[in-house]
Amino acid sequence: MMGAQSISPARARGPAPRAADRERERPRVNVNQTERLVSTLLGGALVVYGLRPRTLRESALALLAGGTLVHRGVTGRCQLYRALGVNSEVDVPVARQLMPPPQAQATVTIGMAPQELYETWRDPEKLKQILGHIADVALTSAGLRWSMPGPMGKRLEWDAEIIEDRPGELLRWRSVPEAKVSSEGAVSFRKAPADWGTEVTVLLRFDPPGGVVGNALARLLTAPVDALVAAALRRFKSLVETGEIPSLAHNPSGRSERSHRLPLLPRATANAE
Amino acid sequence: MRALCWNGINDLRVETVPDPVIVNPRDAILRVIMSTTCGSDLHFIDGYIPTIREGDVIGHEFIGEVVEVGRDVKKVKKGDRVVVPSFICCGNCWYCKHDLYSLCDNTNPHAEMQAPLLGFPTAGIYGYTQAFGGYAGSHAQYIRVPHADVDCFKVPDGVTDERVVFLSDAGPTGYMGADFCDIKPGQTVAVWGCGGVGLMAQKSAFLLGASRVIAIDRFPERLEMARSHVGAETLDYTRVDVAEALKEMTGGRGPDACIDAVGMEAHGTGIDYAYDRAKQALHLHTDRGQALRQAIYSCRKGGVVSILGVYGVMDKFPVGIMMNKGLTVRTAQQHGQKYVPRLLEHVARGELDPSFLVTHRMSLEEAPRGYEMFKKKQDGCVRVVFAP
Repeated sequence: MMGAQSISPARARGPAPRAADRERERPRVNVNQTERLVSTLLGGALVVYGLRPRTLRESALALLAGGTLVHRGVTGRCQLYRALGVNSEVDVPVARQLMPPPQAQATVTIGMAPQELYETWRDPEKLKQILGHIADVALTSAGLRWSMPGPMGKRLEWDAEIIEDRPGELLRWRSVPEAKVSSEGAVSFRKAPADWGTEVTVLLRFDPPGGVVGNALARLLTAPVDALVAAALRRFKSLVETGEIPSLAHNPSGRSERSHRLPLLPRATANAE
Repeated sequence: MRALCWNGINDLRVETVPDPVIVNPRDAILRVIMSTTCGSDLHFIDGYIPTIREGDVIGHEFIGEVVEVGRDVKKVKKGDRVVVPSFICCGNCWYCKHDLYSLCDNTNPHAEMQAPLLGFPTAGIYGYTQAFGGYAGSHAQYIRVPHADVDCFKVPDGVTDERVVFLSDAGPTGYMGADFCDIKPGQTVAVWGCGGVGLMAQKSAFLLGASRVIAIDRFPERLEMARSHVGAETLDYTRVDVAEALKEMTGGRGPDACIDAVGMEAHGTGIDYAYDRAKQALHLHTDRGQALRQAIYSCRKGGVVSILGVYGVMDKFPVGIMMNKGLTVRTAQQHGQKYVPRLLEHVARGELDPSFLVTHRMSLEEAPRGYEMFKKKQDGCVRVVFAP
């Protein structure tokens, strides 16, 4: 889900996909100046150390490590960074590149006109149903008030302001500067071909408190954001196309007292053939 | 209420479970009048379809009486006797509007379980694994039917229950399979499988204008049904080389269209069958595709292969034969809502009477024994109907 129709600000700033492909083929500088200097000096020291009389094992290790560091420093190309997909030359810290904030974007086609769908998204009752599985979202005069369960039973609450509003096309919001959870999101509506209706794209990004550690925790503790966004889109679609969201509430089963575990493969329990 | 629950591979039990209730505004609650076994149930009973859960209420082919309706139900009324296709459809999405009902976008609450396997999710089904929606099934005293105005078809007074219960699934599935064949006068249609769906496909092929129908199976009583109730010619695949026999019967051309009404647990003969059986036993592979391969091989050049049998993720498939012979392959789970009105008319005019499929009648309490007989095809069993 990238390319010309992307509404992700993070991705919009990045290089075009084709340029990215070319980069992957040809190694390029991915270590910043300070790090290169440190790398060269440290590597040089290790080489000097390795050239002194030592055991063969010590010398070999020191020369190998030193040589690698010097090469890294002089060329500015790090194989490890490349393998991990990080780059210390850009503004974003390496740790954050390794554990970026949870973010997802998904698109669905809905059989209605863009304007109708835009209006649904601005209807407080409908919005509650669409995003109810992620957070309680209320429309306020300034924008949106978000409230969701956080770690250790605490609720995370924050305000977001609408930063772009093009009726029938796009709605973009971002948490206010003093918000505990930095987040942003957008929904866009584009006319689909023939009788398909409208292509709706939703983007959500959460930046939980605690920086990189918070991101890692959020990933562990909450459902993957892409699953939440996909579910929000399905709920939205069903709600506007049929007036209801498919539900298994009170669905009869013989399971009431038993485990609610969902096996991936059925288990043999009796006279399996 | 009482309901038939899946509790593990080949472990079905009738249990007391909570009654269904109206959840969404377009729901109806039906008292189940009659519900029937379907060959496709055997796939998950045998453990070949993942995501069924212990405690799931099974069954998807049924008729019932409306006992309660949600606030947005306009057409369906309390007391109506209705037949309900096994796929749950919203009637509003692009797929429903284009008569592709089993592909409905809005009725699978577990779309996220199915999408990774298929690329995109299908509609939900009653009582047919969690990936297909997780809805409680029809082998029960009551059932919740979402989108009741779209999915309930009123049965005219005077038509017996046994004549219409198969219009829930076997009827429209078979009819759709014959419709896919684009039958022209003078054409011959071969149908693999003489279970409920196969027999309905054979009958439908005649209704849609086929000159000859050739039915393939190995059970004498089922082949006899194809001859006496449908008027088909028959082949026992354990006695003849099917492809050779079909060629001989069609002047060396092969059938104009071939319908696979068997699916992933096909039985067969020879090395192919041994290979499939071994792979399936080792869980390397979910499907045994003997019938489908034979259909593709036997079909005349430029003919149609219509696949109704249920498959998982089959990995050994003769695409080269299909391609070089210029075959058209058409397939779907039943788009029942498109075909049920037409089938009700055929029944009303006396052109179609599927009640011959009923070989055994039981109470719901006897359902585990019914499935055992159905699976092992004991006592000439073709279909068992349960009256809760």
